[in-house]
Amino acid sequence: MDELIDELKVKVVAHLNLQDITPENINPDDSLFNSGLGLDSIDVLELIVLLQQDYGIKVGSAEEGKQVFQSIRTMAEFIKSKTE
Amino acid sequence: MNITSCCAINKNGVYLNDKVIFEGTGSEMLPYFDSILKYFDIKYPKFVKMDALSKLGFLTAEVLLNSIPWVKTEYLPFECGTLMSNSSSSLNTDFNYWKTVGQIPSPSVFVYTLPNVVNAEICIRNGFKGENMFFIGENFVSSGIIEYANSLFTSGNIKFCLCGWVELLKDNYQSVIFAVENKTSGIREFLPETINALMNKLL
Repeated sequence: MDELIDELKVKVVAHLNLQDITPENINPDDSLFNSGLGLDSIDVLELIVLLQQDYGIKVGSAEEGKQVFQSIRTMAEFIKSKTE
Repeated sequence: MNITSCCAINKNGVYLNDKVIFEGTGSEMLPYFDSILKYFDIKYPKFVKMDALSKLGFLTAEVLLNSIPWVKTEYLPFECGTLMSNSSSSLNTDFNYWKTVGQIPSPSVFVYTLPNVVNAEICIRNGFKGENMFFIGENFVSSGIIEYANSLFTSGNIKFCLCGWVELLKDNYQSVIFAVENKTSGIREFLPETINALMNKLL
């Protein structure tokens, strides 16, 4: 899991072109929004694309999305649950 | 009404009220825009996510508005409008978006496939909530912009307006944005002949 979390941190920073944030600075339990990474709704759409492109996973519904896109850890858990 | 300040950006530099305040670096477009951001010490994390057209309009508006600081306190959000125009619409970003369609289309590129997002970026940054419009035409039509702005001012809808031309296609770009206010003095009168002279000089 830790390896997947580290991989996701790198991909999220690169895919969203985040400035002033390095993968090492991201706490996997921090919120993706507001005081956490400060992502917006368009960023979430990009994360959906990332999951589809890199892991072949589709987010089934908005409700599922709310659970998945809470933090880097919840994203990693979702990927793990879908790929095992 | 008067034009109280005017900013232009092209490959040669950044101009404020006819004076060069930043010389062009001769670098490629996006690095050049980044250098303008850095030189004027503009802090705005969302800048990196904008498309090139929005970056150009945003930077021009930033430099311009910094020269007229009273706007922030003198007008209410609903009293501030933007009237922009260009000839290539958002075609530059449309091409970039089209390149992604073969795989999974990029949402963050898609949101910039409308030119009036330039207005949106300027309005979000500055809290403007008044009328905004983006006209597409072969050339800047001063009489049309003046007529539209005058109708907004006389109806009481706005008391401050950013008007201009923000054009970008591939490596060619140029912007001129000027502030219009109901003041008795300014750098130029808000008239077709003065605006045409201004545009001819800066574009």
